Amino acid sequence: MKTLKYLLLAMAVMMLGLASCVKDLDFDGEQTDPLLVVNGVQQVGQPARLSVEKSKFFLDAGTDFRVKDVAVDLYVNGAFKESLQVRDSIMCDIFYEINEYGEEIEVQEPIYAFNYCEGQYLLCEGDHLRFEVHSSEFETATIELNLPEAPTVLSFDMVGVDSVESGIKFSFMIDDPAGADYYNLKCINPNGSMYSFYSEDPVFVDPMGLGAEELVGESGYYGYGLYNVFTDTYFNGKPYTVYFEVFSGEYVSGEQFTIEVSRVDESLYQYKKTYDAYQESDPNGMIGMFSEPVQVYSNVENAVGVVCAQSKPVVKTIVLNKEK
Amino acid sequence: MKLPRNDFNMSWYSFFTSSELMQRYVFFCYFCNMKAKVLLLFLAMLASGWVSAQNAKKSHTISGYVTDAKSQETLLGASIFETASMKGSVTNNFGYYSLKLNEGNVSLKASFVGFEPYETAFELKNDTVINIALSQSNQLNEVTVTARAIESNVKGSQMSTIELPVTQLKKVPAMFGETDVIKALQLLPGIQSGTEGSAGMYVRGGGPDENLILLDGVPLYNVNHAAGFFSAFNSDAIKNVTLYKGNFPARFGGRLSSVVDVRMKDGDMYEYHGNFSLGVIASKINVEGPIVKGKTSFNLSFRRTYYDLFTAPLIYAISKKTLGSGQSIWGGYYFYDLNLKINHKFSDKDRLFFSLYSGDDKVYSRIKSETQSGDGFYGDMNSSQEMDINWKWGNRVAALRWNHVVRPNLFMNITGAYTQYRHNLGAEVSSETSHQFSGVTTTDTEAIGLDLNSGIYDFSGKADFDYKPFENHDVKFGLGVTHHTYKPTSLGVQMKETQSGTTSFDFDTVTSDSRIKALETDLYLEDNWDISNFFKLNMGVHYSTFTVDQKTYHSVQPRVSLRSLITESFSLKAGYAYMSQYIHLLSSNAISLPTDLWVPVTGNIVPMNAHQVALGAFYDWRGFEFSLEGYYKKMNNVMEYKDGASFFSLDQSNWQDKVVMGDGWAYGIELFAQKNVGRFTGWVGYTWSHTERLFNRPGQELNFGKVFPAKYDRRHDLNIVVMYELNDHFDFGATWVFSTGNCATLAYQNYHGLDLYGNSIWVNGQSSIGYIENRNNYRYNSYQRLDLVANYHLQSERFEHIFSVNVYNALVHNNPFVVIPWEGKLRQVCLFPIIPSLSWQVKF
Repeated sequence: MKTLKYLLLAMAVMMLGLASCVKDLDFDGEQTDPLLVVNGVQQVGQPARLSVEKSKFFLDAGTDFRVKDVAVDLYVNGAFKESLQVRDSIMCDIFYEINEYGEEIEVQEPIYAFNYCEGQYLLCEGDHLRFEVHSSEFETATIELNLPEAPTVLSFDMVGVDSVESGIKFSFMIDDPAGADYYNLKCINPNGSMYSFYSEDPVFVDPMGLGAEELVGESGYYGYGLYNVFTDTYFNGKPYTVYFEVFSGEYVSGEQFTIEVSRVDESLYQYKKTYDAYQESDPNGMIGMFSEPVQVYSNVENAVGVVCAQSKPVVKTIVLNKEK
Repeated sequence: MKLPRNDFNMSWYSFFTSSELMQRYVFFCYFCNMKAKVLLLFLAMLASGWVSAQNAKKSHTISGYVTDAKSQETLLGASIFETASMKGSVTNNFGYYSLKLNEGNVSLKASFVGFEPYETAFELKNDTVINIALSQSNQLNEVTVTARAIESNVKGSQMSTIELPVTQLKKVPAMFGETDVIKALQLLPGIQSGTEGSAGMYVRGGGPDENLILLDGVPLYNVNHAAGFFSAFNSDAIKNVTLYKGNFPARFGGRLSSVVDVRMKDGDMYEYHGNFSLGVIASKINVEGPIVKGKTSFNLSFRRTYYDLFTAPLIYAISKKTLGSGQSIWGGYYFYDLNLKINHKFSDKDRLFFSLYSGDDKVYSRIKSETQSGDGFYGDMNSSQEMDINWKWGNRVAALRWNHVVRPNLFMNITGAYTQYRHNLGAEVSSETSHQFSGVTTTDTEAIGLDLNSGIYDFSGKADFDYKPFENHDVKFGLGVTHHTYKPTSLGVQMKETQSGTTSFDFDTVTSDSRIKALETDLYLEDNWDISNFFKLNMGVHYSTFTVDQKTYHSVQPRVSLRSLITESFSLKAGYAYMSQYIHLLSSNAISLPTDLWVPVTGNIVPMNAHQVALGAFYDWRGFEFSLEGYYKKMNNVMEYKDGASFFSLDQSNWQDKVVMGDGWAYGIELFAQKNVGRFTGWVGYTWSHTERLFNRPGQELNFGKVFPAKYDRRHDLNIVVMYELNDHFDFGATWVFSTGNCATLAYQNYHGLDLYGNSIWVNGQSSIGYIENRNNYRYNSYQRLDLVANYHLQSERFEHIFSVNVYNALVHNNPFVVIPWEGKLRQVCLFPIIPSLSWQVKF
């Protein structure tokens, strides 16, 4: 359905394009001031980590987002614990040029510079954290959060191998307590990078819904990366088995899959939900012209960005047994 | 003290007709609750009518039809008044009038714009039927028009209502030379267009789905062709258009913002004639005439675009040349509409009308490819693939009406109607591969078919009555029932594979959600009450129910409109209306597409409703009409898409998850000055307005629960329309449109968000997010457009030729369609920088 609508849009745009013209305009509105941006996920057993930077006006170029005189104070359970160490982090594109002597030289072009802040105190389950981010350019930004307990995972299992799709199906059972809970799943290969996975389990269905895709069997969740968050809406207060399928090519017996299940706070879920909606709306593309704008979730006072909490993960390593 | 009967009656009568007491009464009513107000006023009406009937001299009814003398076409809104008593009436939607007058000598005068006035004097002794046939005047007669103008503009009780005669409509410049009802309405104050070229209407801060578009009294769901660049109405088939943009009479219901009442021509009862026109985009033909002279007539109009007749062969030729041998594309787009009306007159008391409308848009394409390969070792292989896509959407409306004059003062109209909007997409992909090896040929085939359907289907029946119980009361009442069927998207898939003539795979399935059925009922009572020479009141109540999903919604909607005639040419009016709406249109704000879906209210999505109050001053001066209206409209349960929702991801199964409900309000001032007489005619319309939205219900917040301007909130709208008739051969027209730019949402600041998809939380360079502090925080550049038209009329013995030159956007103003950030700048996309067009029309 969506494909058909895209096709229709393409045809409509093509028809209109025949008669349209474009004109570049100078922005005559008010140029707004940059905002302080604070992001980070605080995980039990790890030191506190934040990225601090500033936003840029949407028509400006520039790669340096660092903020002057940044200082970040961490309070744990109401008491000052430490000031985070602030470092500059500069990411560069590396390319090679031939100099005047005909030698090949490495050139680094900064593409992104920000402030990276890290503490030393290892965060504990149940800690109440408060961050205060100070700088000479902005008002002090604050964020408070609680570090959740690890989830109760009753079992992990390898369900089977799908020889047609070259996928391996896994499951795990969560004993969910009453109340709203949010979980995160990731699947890691022995190199430490992420496996991508697919799940038709309803817990992963985006509340924004895919609609007609379900009709033609395209529904489901494609997970990858660090954060694949789901809620307990479908199984609140009960044990529940979640199924997912890892597939990325040929597997051999003995290959290891490390599955991590952790509990996260609501802010990470809200951020992911609105961020995915933002990406889906294609804000800078053709579809964006016909989509409603998205205001991405932010939970930092006097700044934008999101600082979230994550429990210590429950980890299970499963060795592939193709006989199963 | 015991009063004589007549004195007692007079005292009550004078209570209700004394201006001072009436004002006190209205003031008192203001503090009553609405239902009590309605009841009290109706009691007052009945009492005053009864009392005046008891008190007055014996009265009789004069009734009949007002028609065009030449064609017998009924004239809607024609004015009939008795000059001595200044009592008057206007013809209804079927050209019927009735007037209750005292016994004695009467002098009756009938008038209609563009027609010679008719006058007659006689002694009224009993109920009298006078059918009036008006002759067309060659030149606009000032007296005629002025009389009508005063009646409608100054003396009428209704406000926020504009009639647009088709003769006037046809003189307005038009895009591609296609006269367009909806686009002409957009030139009136209080009516805003959507994006450039779009046929969408935003009336007094309402959305495009809040307009009830009626074709001969039957709702039309999709009023657009070609993504909204043309409306579904063929102007050749139309007799009259009336727009109600607030303070709706009680007979209308079902939408919040406006009613556009389009009436089709009945057809000439005596002569065959018509016209044919040839334009750059479409050609039209209209024929009308008698089936049985003086008894039965027809009017038939057909319009079709023929752009595809040129583009399809061109696309084919280009594809053959550029894609190589064996590959080709054939495709195009067209729309057509057909209007048919048959009218049979059984007697002066009984008439039957049959109306039919059928309009479709269609996109079609066929992509073919053929390849041949082979060598001595593997043999020869021929393969061919073909893909057919047919996309079709459109409306069908059929209505049967019976007019019956029950009594001279009681007119009845019974209507049975069917209306549908249907969207169908069919696609077929087939391939055939034949392989010849060692003298043996094997053939494999593969075929995939896709069939996607959605629609809305209504059956309705209604009865409307016009009743003149007393000389100072015009009562309308009626009831209606509509059965809606909303058909959700259903998808049929067929797949078949054969290998060497044997079926190896066969799959055929249809997935469909169950149909949603709903029942809507309406009941109304409306009285147009001449309280005194000073006051005239139109008030009524519309009651409706809507049953869906075993849930029934009710709505009692009071409507009041009061006129105070300060002088013969100056009046003040005030009105209040409450409206309720049970259906929504899921569509893009930017463009109208066939996938737009009408959906009903549900258990979760409750009906929208709106309260509107308006005040106005109306003045006529030497053929000029002036009006100044102020309005305030409060809308409840209005719908908006959630953040990020796009109509691309909407369908009937999930739409409720993607919308939120909130409140809105709009207020503004509208100024309208019109000149209807003489060679130089036209109007100036100016609107100053504000439209805002608030979505702060728990879980349904937009803009963080703060107020934001609606997308089509525009501060200023100015439309100037001028038409000049130089002589019998040449006439010219020009429109100039200026409006404040539309609102859009721009993220003024970009920042990096937490990267959810990387392997490390610090590699977040890719996740750039636009920070939006407020929805609709940016305004496009102002919109300006000058359109011109020049018509040359050439009269021959049998034909009249009209050659037209239209220029759309003659000043080549780059009006914004959309503005997007683009490589460090803002890029504005404009449509239609200038469109010149020619058309030729032959009237026979």
